[in-house]
Amino acid sequence: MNFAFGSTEITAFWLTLKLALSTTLILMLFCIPLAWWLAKSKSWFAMLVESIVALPIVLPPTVLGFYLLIAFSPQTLLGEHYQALTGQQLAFSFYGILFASLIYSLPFAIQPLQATFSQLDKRLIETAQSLGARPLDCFISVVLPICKNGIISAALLCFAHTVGEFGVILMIGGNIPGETQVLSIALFDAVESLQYEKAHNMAAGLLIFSMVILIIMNMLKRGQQRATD
Amino acid sequence: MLQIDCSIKLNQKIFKYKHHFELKNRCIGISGDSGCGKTTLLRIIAGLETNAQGNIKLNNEALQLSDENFIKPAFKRDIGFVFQDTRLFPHLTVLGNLKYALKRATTVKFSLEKVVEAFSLTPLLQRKPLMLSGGEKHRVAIARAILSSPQLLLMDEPLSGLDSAQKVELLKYLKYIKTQFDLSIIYVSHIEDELKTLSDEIIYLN
Repeated sequence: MNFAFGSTEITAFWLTLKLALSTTLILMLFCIPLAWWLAKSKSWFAMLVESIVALPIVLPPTVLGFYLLIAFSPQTLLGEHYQALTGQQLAFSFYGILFASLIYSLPFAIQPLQATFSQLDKRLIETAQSLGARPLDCFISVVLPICKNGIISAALLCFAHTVGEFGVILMIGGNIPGETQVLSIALFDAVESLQYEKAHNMAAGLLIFSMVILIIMNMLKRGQQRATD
Repeated sequence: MLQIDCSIKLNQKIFKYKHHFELKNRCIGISGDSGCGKTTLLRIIAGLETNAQGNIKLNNEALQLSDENFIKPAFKRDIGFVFQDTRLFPHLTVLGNLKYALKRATTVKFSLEKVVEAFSLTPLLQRKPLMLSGGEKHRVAIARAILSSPQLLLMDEPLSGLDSAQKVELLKYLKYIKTQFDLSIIYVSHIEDELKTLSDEIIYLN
């Protein structure tokens, strides 16, 4: 097997990296406060939000892709406004697959974060309050540093999951090199056109990447356990 | 002066409190059988039990007025709390724990150096709580609460969970801080000797 990468793979690699990093960053900013609220709240509304957020786990990617495709069409409010603002369609564009990735990877960011926050010793929050820390101060100075490993794990899982996305991306973005052709789509394309060497290179790269992510996540998990024991 | 007239329902039990404590840099000891609501009383005063109904005033300033639907949040009460289980922040060193309180104190009454010296904490400053013995953890927890320069310091059985040698040592520190720091303290314990040694007045809860 020859591990030389051509321009298609390199373009697909950078696009995948851009998509995964953007998705992870946006989801972390949005999901950390949401997961904190879900971990604290006992209301039925929180339970409803939790179920909606978890929907992409059980929903076939094609179902999600189909509904997003409809939502992105210029006949809908979202599609119409996006086209009016940018002069482009949301479907078959990078921002279209980014939007789809945000929805599809949402539970993979929320659920580990919620689990981490639920395990936090709530007595430490009372302690911070008794020392004069306001809620936001308490969140930044106590909750975030103590849950650091869990937050990094959630970010890694979210990143890895975005790198591995296929169905939704294909439905929303098609297969446009440099715009929507991420590694998983480029791999599919290589197999379809019987370019097995190319396919081998990309598949092996994704396999090693996934393994490394899982090893780092397990190391972080063990570190967190040691710190709390 | 601390005035309390309130009640709370916890685990199907109703606790009623009607007390008037003359603080003035004194130590009020509170005793009573297990489950009589000693810790709950401290938690209500600190603002950590928000389901209590009634009125609480500290030095004529309202902490809670249920008729007016007013409850001052715990972080605004300026009341220190030494918990039974120390609750040191595991991600911070001893120095980090002490500075945490100092940074958030509304007025700085006691310097870090004075408190560190009073509790002999200099050799422990760079250690994480995981590396401390039970007695050392309690010393840091008390020092941290003092550094928040509270109007009132609540201590909930701070000697519990320690062996007799550690208790004797910590009691020595507590007697020393009582003479060295101008502090109004409410000290909860069910051990009579401990209360007699430290308190200016002892109140028994039923």
